[in-house]
Amino acid sequence: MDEKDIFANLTESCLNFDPEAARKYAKEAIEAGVDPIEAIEKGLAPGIRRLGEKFENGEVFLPELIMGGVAMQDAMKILESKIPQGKERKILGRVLLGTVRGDIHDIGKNIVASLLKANGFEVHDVGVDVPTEVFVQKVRELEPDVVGLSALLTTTLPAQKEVVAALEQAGLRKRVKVIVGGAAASRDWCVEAGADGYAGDAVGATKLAKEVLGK
Amino acid sequence: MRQGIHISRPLKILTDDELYQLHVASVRTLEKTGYMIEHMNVLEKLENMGSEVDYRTKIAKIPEQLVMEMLGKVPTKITFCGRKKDNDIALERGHSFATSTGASVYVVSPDGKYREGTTKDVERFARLANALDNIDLTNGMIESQEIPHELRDIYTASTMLNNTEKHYNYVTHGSEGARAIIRMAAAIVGDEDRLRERPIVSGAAPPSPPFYYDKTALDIFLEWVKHGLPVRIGSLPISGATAPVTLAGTIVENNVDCLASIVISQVVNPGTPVLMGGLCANLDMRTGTLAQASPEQALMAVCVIQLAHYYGLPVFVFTGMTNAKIPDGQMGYEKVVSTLLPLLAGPNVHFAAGNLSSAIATAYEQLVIDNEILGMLRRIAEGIEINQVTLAIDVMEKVGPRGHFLEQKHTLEHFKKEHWIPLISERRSVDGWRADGAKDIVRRAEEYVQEILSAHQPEPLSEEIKKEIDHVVKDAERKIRCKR
Repeated sequence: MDEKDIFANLTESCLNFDPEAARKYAKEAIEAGVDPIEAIEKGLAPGIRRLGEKFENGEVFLPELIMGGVAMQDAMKILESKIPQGKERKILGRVLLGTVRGDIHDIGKNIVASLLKANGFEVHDVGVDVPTEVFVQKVRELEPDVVGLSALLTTTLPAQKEVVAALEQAGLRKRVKVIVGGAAASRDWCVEAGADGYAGDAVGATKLAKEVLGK
Repeated sequence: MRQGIHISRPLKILTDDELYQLHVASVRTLEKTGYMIEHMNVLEKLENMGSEVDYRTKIAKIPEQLVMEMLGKVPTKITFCGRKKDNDIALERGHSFATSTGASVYVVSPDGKYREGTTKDVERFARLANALDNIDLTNGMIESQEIPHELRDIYTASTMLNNTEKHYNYVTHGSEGARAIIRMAAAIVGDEDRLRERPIVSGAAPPSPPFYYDKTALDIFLEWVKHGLPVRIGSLPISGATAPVTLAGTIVENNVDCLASIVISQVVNPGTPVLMGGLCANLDMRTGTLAQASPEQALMAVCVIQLAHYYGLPVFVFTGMTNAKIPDGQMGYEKVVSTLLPLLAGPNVHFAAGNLSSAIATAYEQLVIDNEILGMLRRIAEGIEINQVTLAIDVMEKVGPRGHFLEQKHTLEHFKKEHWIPLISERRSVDGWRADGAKDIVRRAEEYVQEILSAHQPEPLSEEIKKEIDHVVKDAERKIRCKR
């Protein structure tokens, strides 16, 4: 199998939401001596991009998109382990995601994480009921481009504002874009909380992440 | 006593065998997968009663035997009371009552604009719901966004209790809120013992599917349970996201939540009145949002009701759902689909009058429109009465061929009971409608809202009780401020 076929197969396994095939072709790529960075950028990336487009056009549904994302990540794990030291893969951006203090709801955040990954973002999900200090600490540690704050309850919304204020106080606010979401959030709230953007659903969140980074 | 409606032959979509399969799947799951409970005392109690508890993961594996034993301790009948007996509702098999919507954030104005709810809105919504005939009890309705979030539930509850004579079911934000609302209600009826006899308030604190009771929710739940006051159980599983994508799997998930809550409540305080419930909805696979007004929701609500009947428990389900953002055509058809099927199955409490945009918003006009929709659907659920009088053979003989029935005493005597009479629906001729300004339903509802709000005033509480409620609010406020 030549390089082009391997790239095409990797693309196809994302488009077919098939993690098993994705793992198989990732291994074949390595056995055939293909550059792992090229396999990601010419094989997996176009597949997941097209799947994302299809989702936005309503041709593909959420479970398919998410399984496509799993296929990509499975293959990526295999390929990334073979990237020679000193070389790095380009990413669209690094996103830190979490549900704020006092709020244990995570399904919305998880959907956003899947969609961001599918769109080529590197996502660090810090979970639910995340204390404000942890957000600050993780921003320092991981140096994300975007911080995404989720809250389902109206009672926990204020914690989003707290995170923005804490980032400000720690002198980190200018380094990151903060985006907010969740059933209780709104455009007005985003302004009040001092965030950089708000999205009402997962597709909107992905667009927003690109937008705030100027991509 | 409020009459509500009586559904003599409840609709069934599941066979007894299918109900048994759902039950078996639920008890197996509770026994094998277990339930994560963030509460040391409860875990210890469950272990003492034969559950297998892992204190590290906080998961209790609850055996079927304990479930069945605890089910046997739940009262089969509950009466929700109003301030006066004429607003009491007896939640007995086949008797069905309607509630207003849960705690919304936004009020939608007649021009479709969204604005945040205020304390004035809480008071006005309470008065409007108090006046509407088809609404038998109230729920959170709207919360005042002017009040700091940590005190919002307490202030909302005090405003509601001052402005409604109907039973009030409310999900507080924390256990301090639950304690406060119980104290306020006790002040209204006399004391806490009297409140257990005449519960004018009831609570709820849904767990987080799948199979997880977090500390905040459980503390609220236990507050109601310890006081022996009625509490609604069940959760809000999202089919495809927080529950299996299959409807059967989602129903099982909710049923596991119900059974776990029943066990917890009866282990902590045997005989606590519990209402089965749940709002099973699904994930919209195009957008990842919650599809609360789906056809699947209507089907699953029937199953929750049937399961409650299977266990011999009273049942409270939310219907009257819509994903529409304003009172438009989508609102109309979604509300009917969401409500009619479950209503026919005979829930003791159902509906969510005023609900818009998956309960994020409400509108005064919507509350009135929902009162109207309820009227129509209730008429359907009441069915057709067949007897010698209704068959009207004598009257037909009297009138004979080519006569008419308008002059008959039989018509005069029965028209109000046999026919539903609309309040705001447009049934005039086109000319009549035009001459009156060609108003749509929202405009007509708006006029009706003005009419009620300018005239209707619930009987005020005595100055003494008002003072006591204020005292409870201030006391709770102090405690919450101290904690922070």
